[in-house]
Amino acid sequence: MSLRLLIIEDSLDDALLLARELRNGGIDLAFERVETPDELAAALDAGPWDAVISDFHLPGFDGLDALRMMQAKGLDLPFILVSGVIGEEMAVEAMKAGAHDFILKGKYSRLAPALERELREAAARREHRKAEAELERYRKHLEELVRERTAVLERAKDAAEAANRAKSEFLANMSHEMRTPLTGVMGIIDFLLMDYPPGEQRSFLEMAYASADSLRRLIDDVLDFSRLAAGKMSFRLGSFALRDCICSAAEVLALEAGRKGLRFALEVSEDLPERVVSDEGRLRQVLVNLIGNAVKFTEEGEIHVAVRRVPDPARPGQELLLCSVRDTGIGIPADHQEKIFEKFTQVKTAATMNSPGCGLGLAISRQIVETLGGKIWVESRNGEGSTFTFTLFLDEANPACHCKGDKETADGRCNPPMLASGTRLRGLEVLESMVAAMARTARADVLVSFDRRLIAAETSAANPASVH
Amino acid sequence: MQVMKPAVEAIPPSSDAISLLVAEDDMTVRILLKAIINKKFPGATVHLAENGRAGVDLFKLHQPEIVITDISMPVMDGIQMAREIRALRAAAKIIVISACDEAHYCEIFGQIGIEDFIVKPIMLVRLLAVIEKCLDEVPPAS
Repeated sequence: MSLRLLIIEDSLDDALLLARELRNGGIDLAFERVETPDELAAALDAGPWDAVISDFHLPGFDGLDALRMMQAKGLDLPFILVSGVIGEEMAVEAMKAGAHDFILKGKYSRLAPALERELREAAARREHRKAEAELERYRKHLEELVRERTAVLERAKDAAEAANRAKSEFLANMSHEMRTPLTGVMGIIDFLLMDYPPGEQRSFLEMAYASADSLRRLIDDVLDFSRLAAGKMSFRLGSFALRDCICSAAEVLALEAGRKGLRFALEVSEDLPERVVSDEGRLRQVLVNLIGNAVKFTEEGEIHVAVRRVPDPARPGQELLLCSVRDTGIGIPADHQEKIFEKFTQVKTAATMNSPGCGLGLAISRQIVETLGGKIWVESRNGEGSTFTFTLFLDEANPACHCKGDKETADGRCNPPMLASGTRLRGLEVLESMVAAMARTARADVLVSFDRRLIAAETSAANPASVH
Repeated sequence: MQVMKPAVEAIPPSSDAISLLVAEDDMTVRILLKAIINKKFPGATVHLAENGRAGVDLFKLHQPEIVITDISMPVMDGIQMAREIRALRAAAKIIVISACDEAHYCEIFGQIGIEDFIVKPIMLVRLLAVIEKCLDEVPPAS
């Protein structure tokens, strides 16, 4: 197929000469000649062309104008200027503007090789552009693919999270619903026991009460767990008698240990403060959970509960409450010792096969302990028993601060402050509304004494005006 | 076995005029609460409402000194009832018992002003102790 050449030239003779020179140079071509801008525009639109050869001096315009017209139409064709008289400056300008070569009239022997070279280069440029376009298309396609996949994954994640939330809400609702009938059951047993029923009746009623109470604990665990999953576990801070709290938790389980023929020792350090600020119910819950586990998994030997105060390595001058529960039970294999603090985990061995429990207790205990500023860990040897230890911030209650059970608050009412889970007593994320609520009920002192530095800062930042 | 629960010793009526309102939608719990209150305080009159609306009506009628209410009830919940009762009489003693112990109630209770919040299943001994404390604070009926 012959080369389609556009010649911009006002002289037909010159155009024919050009064509002849090229044919002599071995190029098979068909050409069209234009000489005005209008003709050029029409010819460029009519294309396609393989190359353009232009005279420099043309009537009404010049070779540079022609080049710009071609470029304006987005064409990248070999463009060779041919001229008789042209200064070196003009030649340089033409090359800068994008002309591919410049040939003096009379030097036509250069024309054919120059055109062939430029045709090759133009072809190479086309290939390059094609490759780039291809690459760009792949890149866009890939981006789109990634976007699509991401969207699919996000939808799946949202769906999974929604399902999980729905499950947690269901658990929470069910647990609430179960508490009301349980109030009836436990209340009535309680009521009947108040009349000192005779022997067997009394022991049956007490057994029924104990069963209902373990059901209650299970419901509380499920509820706590569903809140733990939703980050909504609640806490109530107040000052309370530490020794009473520890003893009441140990008392019930000491009886259970006694029934299994286990020795039970409770060792409470003499120098514990009378009253402390923390969450009494939650502290009892952790103790009951750990001591309950010890009793459950120990068949012979003893349960030893020790509570004392120790310096806090992380806070110079401050102290921690350290509670440990040691048993001589089945123990926990080393590779399970971290896992047992995760939810739904119970070490599955022949010895635990028949043990009841939903495996939530330690996960909940860990959440409680960490929220109350402490740590929980276990040391154990398989078959030789375990020691569970936890720490809590130890803050002696300020005798002037009025808490749960006391009545002389500013407005004469008692509303134990509560904290939502996720609250880091050690950190700064005490919920503003909580702080504001406490400030309103003149409870700021409770929190302040819990972690003076941080919480005090929070209180003043959250609602300085409402502390009255 | 379970720890011995202290027997409830009836407190002789110091005044004939003490009256209480119990609002609770669960019939068993409602009847139980009346029974235990009557056992401990034989002189007290206990009015029973099965929802907040009935509770407010009974409160207007009998002006009880102490109100014990559940939160979740049909028609009108315990929070709304407590608000209306607080508006009727600032000195009313309000005790809330509920299966829910959501943290956000803390602020609401702070606004309304309540004596105590007991989570179900409730310990009767604790409830009685709170009632007794309220009675100590109630000025003798004229």
